[in-house]
Amino acid sequence: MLACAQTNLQLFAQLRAAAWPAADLARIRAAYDLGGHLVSGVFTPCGKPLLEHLVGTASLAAAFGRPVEAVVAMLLHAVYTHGDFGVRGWSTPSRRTEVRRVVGREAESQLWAYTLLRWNGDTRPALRGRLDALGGPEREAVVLRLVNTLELQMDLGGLYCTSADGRRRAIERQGELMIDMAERLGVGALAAALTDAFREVRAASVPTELQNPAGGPRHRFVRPLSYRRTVPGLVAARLHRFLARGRDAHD
Amino acid sequence: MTDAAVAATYAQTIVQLYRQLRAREYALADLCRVRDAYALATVLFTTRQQSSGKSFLAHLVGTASILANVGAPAELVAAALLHNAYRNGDFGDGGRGPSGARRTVVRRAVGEGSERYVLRFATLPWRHAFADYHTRLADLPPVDVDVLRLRVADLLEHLLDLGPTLGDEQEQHFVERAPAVATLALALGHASLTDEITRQMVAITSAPVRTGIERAYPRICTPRSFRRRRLLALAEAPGFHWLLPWLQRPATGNG
Repeated sequence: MLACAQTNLQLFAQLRAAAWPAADLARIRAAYDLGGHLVSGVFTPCGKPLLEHLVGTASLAAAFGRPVEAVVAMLLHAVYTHGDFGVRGWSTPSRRTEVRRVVGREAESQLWAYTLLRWNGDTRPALRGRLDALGGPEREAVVLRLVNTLELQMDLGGLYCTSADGRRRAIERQGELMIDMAERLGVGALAAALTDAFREVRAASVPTELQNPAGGPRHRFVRPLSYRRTVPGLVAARLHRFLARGRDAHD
Repeated sequence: MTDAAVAATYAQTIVQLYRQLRAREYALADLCRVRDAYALATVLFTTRQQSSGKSFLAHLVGTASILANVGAPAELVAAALLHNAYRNGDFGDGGRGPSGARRTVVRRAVGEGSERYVLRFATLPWRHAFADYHTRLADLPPVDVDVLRLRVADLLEHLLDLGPTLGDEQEQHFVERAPAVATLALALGHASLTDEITRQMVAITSAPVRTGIERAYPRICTPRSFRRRRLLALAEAPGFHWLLPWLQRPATGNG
């Protein structure tokens, strides 16, 4: 099965080996710095830090030859839904401005297209039907959603959470559809990797004892015990959640 | 402990570690011990990172993975996931070191055997003693010998993926200590770890020229909406250290 980086060090090693120019490495570093700060303390349902998942998706995007803006977007792909932007990040425009300042307009636009793309069991069949009509950033966002789906299956990660059965059923139901989407988007290597990953998930079993007992179906935040959330920070987070209600949660 | 060949890569995430342990046929009870150790590690090190920017949890998992690769018992693998708990773990008490309350927290999570390793990791002299251990292994109790294995794995993990090239001076200490620790690994019967340390050192010394991404990260990556608890901040201020013992109580979970 395909391997991918899970730490910033492995990601830099991968990109250096692929002869990425120094300017692009600096952009990746800046995105990692921002992402690491925003999702610090957030864990995926299988129990690994969300930052490691972000790195994994960026690594896969790079391995599949996606442009640098897409790789940067993947390093930040969950910050609008799970990032702690603090008091100043109470509104979506202020959050977007901050991200844009760090990673540039194009990468942020790609990230925003990813965030807005509705991606679930109900929307995927319709998306497949209109792949040819999708514009650049939206089309790339579909590729990146597929990359995200692949990363979630790496090392059977999707089976080490309490929602493992639901995730396995989703693959049974729509695995072929997602593989077909990757092929129609012209990313054959991604289609092949998804095929392998889904096959492995179907065949594998994980003892229920190892399914992350603290992780439900969603990401969770683990507070450092010496710290408390500030009241303004709490108000800003609640206000943003209210204003952004209805937007798709990160899968 | 057998000295199997060291794999080219090590686990960096808990699911990779599970995969490795299952492939090596560790028993389910052992896996559950590892699960419990990781669960506590996520609380104690939730926002901690190394100066290279790598998450501290990835380092803990990597250390455990190196030990699992040489067939270490589950008690030691679980201890590796908490090896720096008494020095760097955030128990919410403002203290440092193995207090009774902290030891209770660790013992409850991983049991007496693993906690003994974690405690000894914090108390076994190292900074000024590491170069001599290979000459007096026969005089050491078994627990100390196992903790030296843990020390070797810890150092090797710090060297992986050119980590010291991105970190601060503390990461450089690991590079400086590497030759002596490689000798210690050999004396412990882990020639494969000696080879691996040597290989990583060659990679570090022949690393590409600086590319502009080398800057040290802060050790704690505090979420923006959070601040240090008032009482702790007060207790850490000059003249108020007498408050610290009042804060030394078992961490009760996460809210």
